[in-house]
Amino acid sequence: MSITIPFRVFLVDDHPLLRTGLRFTLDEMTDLDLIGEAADGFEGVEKILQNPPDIALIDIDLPGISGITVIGMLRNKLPGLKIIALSSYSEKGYVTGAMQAGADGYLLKAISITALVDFLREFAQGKQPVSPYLLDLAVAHKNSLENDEDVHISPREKQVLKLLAEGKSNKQIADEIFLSIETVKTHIKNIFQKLEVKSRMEAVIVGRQRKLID
Amino acid sequence: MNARIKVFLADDHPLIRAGLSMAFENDSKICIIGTADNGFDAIEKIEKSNPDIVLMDIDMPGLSGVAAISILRKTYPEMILFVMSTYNDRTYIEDSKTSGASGYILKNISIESLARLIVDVIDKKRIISPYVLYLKQ
Repeated sequence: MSITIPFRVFLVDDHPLLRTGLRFTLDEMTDLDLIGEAADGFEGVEKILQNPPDIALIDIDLPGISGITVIGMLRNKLPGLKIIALSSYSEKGYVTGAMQAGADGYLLKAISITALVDFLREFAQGKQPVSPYLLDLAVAHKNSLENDEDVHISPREKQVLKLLAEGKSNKQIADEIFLSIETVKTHIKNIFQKLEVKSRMEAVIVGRQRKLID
Repeated sequence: MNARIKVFLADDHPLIRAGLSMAFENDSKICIIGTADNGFDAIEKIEKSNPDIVLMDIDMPGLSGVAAISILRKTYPEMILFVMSTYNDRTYIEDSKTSGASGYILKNISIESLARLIVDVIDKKRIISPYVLYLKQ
């Protein structure tokens, strides 16, 4: 019988309701252990440096020092620490800011508890998690720079992809850019082919990873 | 034994919904009777479940919390409808008042303070909390 050493997680977020959700969930897991939590950046940095976890989830929007500053400080002191930015915002500026500060990934807070647990597990197992809520991953970022020139999509396809990312239906896209639904469908089919994907969600993820859309 | 206070929560963050549901799972006074992740779904579920208190996130996809409250307020003049928000923002507070919200609560409130607030509101006690930016009394 083998004994699993739990993967140690630390959470910095100023919402007690959110912290409670993660705490209650991880309490029941044997392979994941929430070793600590903090409500602001100062407390977060202090506690993490005292007793470093395997992975730190850092809310971007914190009172006091911002999450991005916290990520920068932690990256500086603990080069091996896995750091995931947690955020309500999908704006490019935040994503780039967090990644440049040294985050390993940028995860949207709209993620479900189960998906977050799966995500943490995959990290614990050294895999590269894939999730529609993951807007950036350090590895994906590097790949995207290499792959960027492989994909050529037309300005119209780019426009359609952008509207797909906004969650619009074929009808809404058609109305918005004054095309027939059939033409929109053809554009989407071509986008799927070029990006080598099978669903709208995948198209959006790959589109973002390859920086075709924001 | 008194019945538990029936609370409904609308918030688009699953982690928040899970946190609140789990925190009150075994509570003797408060019970989360339902949750929703957008305003439309919230209205539909609230009409069916008839809660004592509604906690409504201001910032949701689809129908916002404030819009949902103004719709509910027309049918339920007496229902306690609280806005929950991350933002300490005058415009949001004014919009909430106009919509007919019973109060405006900051989302960084602790579970304990929120529990006390819910109980005190039902008991019609005087509320003083740094997390409550507006309260119709």
